[in-house]
Amino acid sequence: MVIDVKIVGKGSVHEKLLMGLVGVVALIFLLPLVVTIVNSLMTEKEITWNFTTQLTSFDLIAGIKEKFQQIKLIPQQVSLSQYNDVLLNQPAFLLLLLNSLKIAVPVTFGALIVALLSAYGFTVWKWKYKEIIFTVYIVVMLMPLQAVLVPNYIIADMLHIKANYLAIILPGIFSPFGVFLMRQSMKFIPPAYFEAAHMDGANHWQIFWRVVMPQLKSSIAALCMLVFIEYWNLVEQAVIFIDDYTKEPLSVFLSRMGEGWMGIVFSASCLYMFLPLWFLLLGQKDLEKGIELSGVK
Amino acid sequence: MKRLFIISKNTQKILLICLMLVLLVSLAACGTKGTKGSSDDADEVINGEITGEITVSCYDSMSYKNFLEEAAQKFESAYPGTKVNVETFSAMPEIRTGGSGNTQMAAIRMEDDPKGRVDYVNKVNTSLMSGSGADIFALDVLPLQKYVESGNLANLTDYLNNDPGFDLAAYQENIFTAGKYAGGNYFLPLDYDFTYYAYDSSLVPESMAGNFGPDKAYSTQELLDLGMSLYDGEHKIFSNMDYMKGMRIGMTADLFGLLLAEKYGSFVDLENKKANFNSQDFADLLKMVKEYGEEGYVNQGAAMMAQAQSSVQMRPPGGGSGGGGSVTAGQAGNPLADADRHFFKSKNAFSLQQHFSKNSTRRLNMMFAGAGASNDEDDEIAGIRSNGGNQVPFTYNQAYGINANSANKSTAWAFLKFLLSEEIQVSTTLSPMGNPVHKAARAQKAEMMLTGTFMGRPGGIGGGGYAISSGGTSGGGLPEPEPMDDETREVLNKYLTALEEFSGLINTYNIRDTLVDDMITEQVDYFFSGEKSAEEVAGALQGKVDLYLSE
Amino acid sequence: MLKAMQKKHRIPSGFIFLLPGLLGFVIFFIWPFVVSLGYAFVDKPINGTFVGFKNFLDLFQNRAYRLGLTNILRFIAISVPLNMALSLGLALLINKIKRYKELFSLAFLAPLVIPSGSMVFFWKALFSYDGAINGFLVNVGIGKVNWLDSGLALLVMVIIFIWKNLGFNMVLYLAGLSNIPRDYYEAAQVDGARPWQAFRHITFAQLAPTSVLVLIMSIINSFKVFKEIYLITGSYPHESIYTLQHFMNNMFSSLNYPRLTTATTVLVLIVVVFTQTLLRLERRASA
Repeated sequence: MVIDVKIVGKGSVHEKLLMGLVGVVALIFLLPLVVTIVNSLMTEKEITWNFTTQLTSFDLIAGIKEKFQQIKLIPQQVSLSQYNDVLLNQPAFLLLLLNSLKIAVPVTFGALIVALLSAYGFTVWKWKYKEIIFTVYIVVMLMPLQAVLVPNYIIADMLHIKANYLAIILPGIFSPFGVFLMRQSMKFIPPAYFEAAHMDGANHWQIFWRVVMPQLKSSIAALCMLVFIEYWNLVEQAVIFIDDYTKEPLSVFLSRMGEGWMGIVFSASCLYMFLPLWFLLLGQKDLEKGIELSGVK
Repeated sequence: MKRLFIISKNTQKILLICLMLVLLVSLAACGTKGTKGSSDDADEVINGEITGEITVSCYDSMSYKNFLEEAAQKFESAYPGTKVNVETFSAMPEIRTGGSGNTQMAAIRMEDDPKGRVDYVNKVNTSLMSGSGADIFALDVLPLQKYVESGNLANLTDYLNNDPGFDLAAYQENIFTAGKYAGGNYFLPLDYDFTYYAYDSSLVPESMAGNFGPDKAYSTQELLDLGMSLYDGEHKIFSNMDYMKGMRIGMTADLFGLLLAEKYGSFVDLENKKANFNSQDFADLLKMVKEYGEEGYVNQGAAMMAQAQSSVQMRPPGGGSGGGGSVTAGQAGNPLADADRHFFKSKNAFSLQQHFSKNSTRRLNMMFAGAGASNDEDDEIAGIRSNGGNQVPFTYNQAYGINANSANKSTAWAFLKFLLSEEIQVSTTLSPMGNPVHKAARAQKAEMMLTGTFMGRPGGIGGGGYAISSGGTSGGGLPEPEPMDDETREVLNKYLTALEEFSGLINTYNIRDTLVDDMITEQVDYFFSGEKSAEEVAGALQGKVDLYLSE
Repeated sequence: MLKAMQKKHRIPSGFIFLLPGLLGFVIFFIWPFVVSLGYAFVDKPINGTFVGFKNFLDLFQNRAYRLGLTNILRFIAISVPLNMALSLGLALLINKIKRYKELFSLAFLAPLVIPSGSMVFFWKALFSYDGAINGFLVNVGIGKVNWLDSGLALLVMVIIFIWKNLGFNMVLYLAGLSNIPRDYYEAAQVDGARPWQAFRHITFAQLAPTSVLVLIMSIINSFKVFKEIYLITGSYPHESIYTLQHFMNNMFSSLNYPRLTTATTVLVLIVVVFTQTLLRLERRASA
């Protein structure tokens, strides 16, 4: 059942069954997204009602002994009041959104460039011990955040970039994850391609641009997406390095929204994930394209 | 794929390099470590030059910040060449508007969310672990005992004793002694506060009056036992709430917290890192308190109110019962306010002044929004609250410690001394709730409070949302300050005498681990809401606390 | 090596490409990391004295550390293979579907973009003691289950991990699958190979680099699931989900920097051995 792709005809019962199965699983995965969007269209009152389980005197009269949180998929009354609250009553929201961009965009571009160059270097460099260096990259990549924070702080202090976005951006750009991902993707490019290009007299820049880059489209899309989302959602580093609350990224603001903010937490989340979601849609096309391209041969 | 975890030659090399690096670095680290820390010598700090820049870090950006900035300004002009930076952790304030009918409400959310606290502590931790950090820390949310254990706070005992510029005798000295931890003064409180019990003389027989007074100390358990012997089946033993702090002891869950505090040491041994919840004692205590509720000695259940909210409600002038634009706490519609009588009431040190002024014409009145009138006419002082075994604790509103790694300890100490000086101690921006540790300042502040000058001064009401007014029971706006008359002077003297008596009894500071406390609160709530049995709670706590202490 | 350098009198061009990235990497990661390693050998972060390997001995005698290490290893052992198997299976399924391929992979990628803050809200509403699942269970007549404060917490943790990471790994596998030349399968069919043989020798073997990628990504993400778990259950959750991350995070909060770096150093050593083994396996598989 695994190998033969051609046997399954278009629109056969088999495929419909498959689609149904995958569709159900996909719906489960989409559920939290749907819930967030639906809840963002509810009034604060309804949300509070759904997510509080404290008994009121009315419940006691009605004989209700225990209450559970409810996850509803249809709002009683569609309302944009939450968006109104976030966008109009919290003027800081847009400012913070801009701050988030100021961090995530430079990191994404910087990390992409560094990752491509370094990965290419790793691929073409013929040195006996390069794998050792690569291992160091992987080891650092696997370190948990708590282990990296203090070293990060020390270096930011030394370079006098503390309390500055650079303290977050620079380590982000040089983080080993992108190098790892790109190097691993470059392994898919058959060595024959390099040799052929070399024979034709192409130099490294030309090989890099003409041979490697087109092959990596999907990986580049993946890397950009992952790095952007990671730095879009970053909280800990921002908390430690940024002193002024007007310079905080939105993620920090969102992370402090506790139970008391129920009324706007969903609409804020929706607005907040709109950008990554849009990038996902964009990048996903590229992802598919990249897959098709490399699958042609 | 035969041998999976063979260590290849490459791996060996990497491991070897790692090892060498580690050794090299550790040697280098040793070399540099020795030179630091010599500035710990107290005399050097005391006699050092007071100049340059220092930074004071605090979490609270309301009362602490206002107070510190005012003090910093005065300090800078008193010592030219110095600069004091006040660093606060400020989160984006939330402004909410809303309302129904003709009452429009605006609430400014103060940054007191647990996530913000954790963020602040993490921030300070990172700076400390990388060897920098502020020179002075306000100990509002930082975990004191961890900072002492990791050696991040300087021991101030020698500074206190050896500095000729610091007159220890002018202070309520036993507060400093009580605040010692691990043999040293790692923090200095600017003010102190305590809880005392009052009894209702209409319920407690007069023959017992001799047992009570401002020179006595009672643990909650002792009063509970006494109350049970007097119990009449009608009045509860404890009233629901403390006047000022919203500390509730009348509900079983809250009473449990207080009784636990008295036996805390037998369950949690912070110093030796041992937890002991598995002995039947803990489960028994839980069951016993529940029984108290069932027998009717105290009200059952956990308090229904959320923790005192930090929102401040602003009422329009003329509207609402609060009157002339007063700022009131967000506990509107308190369902627990009751006019019932109780055998005992827990009161905050500040209500002591109210106690002595209640029969005078210039009655000092404090109120909580919605708390309503309560019966305090027959209240008499029972004694200060102890932990049992003659241990009388205090709390503080503001306290500071010096970073052990500070590069400018002389100036940091000078500033801390300045905060303790009489001039700053009478400042109205220092919390009006607490008693200044400086004795003369304490008396002066009490006088200002009674004559109304304290409130009359700008910035008189700082910090959280409470209203203080004098002159009449109906609340209302702030009265004009009046000069001292004989009656007021008598009230003042009586008050100061009692305050001094109480203050003299203080001999300890409860170093509690907030993490352990949070674990206990969470689990105990499961018990009182019926989700878990006492034994289950004890078992779960044993696991969690033991894990925490074994880290 | 040295001779070759002297002969050519020039730096290898591959190294030039690597240099800028490597420089930044050393400045921002290796150097400060090495500097902070010194703390593993002192007793206090400030004015500490050299204690040799005492911190390491203490660490291994520490109950919380051992619990955290065992738990994270157990979690990885359960969740990573499960996640890899599921994402490979899903990729194979989606690969067979002609239409709406993008739509499906998009649906599975959606968890990537939802901020963990609002996810935490959702998980809490679902799994807490008064949560929606327990509401359902009570209505069905089963009764309440303590999801977060019992051994079941591990299950919740695995569910959250899979939910968040399945999509991306699946896309990686999809890309890997489309890289396998069709004629390999045709040749296998001609040779009369059975489907599972073809799977094992072609699909599985050809996916080796992808699998290494997915494996390492899964391990990174199994460390990262801590963030959600921490936000849902706090610093001291049920013992079954107290991981190494909890331990390190708590060491961070209690300023025990020596112990934190000691734990990091041990982790580095474990990861070095693991990565080397993995890279060797990859080379062997693709050779």
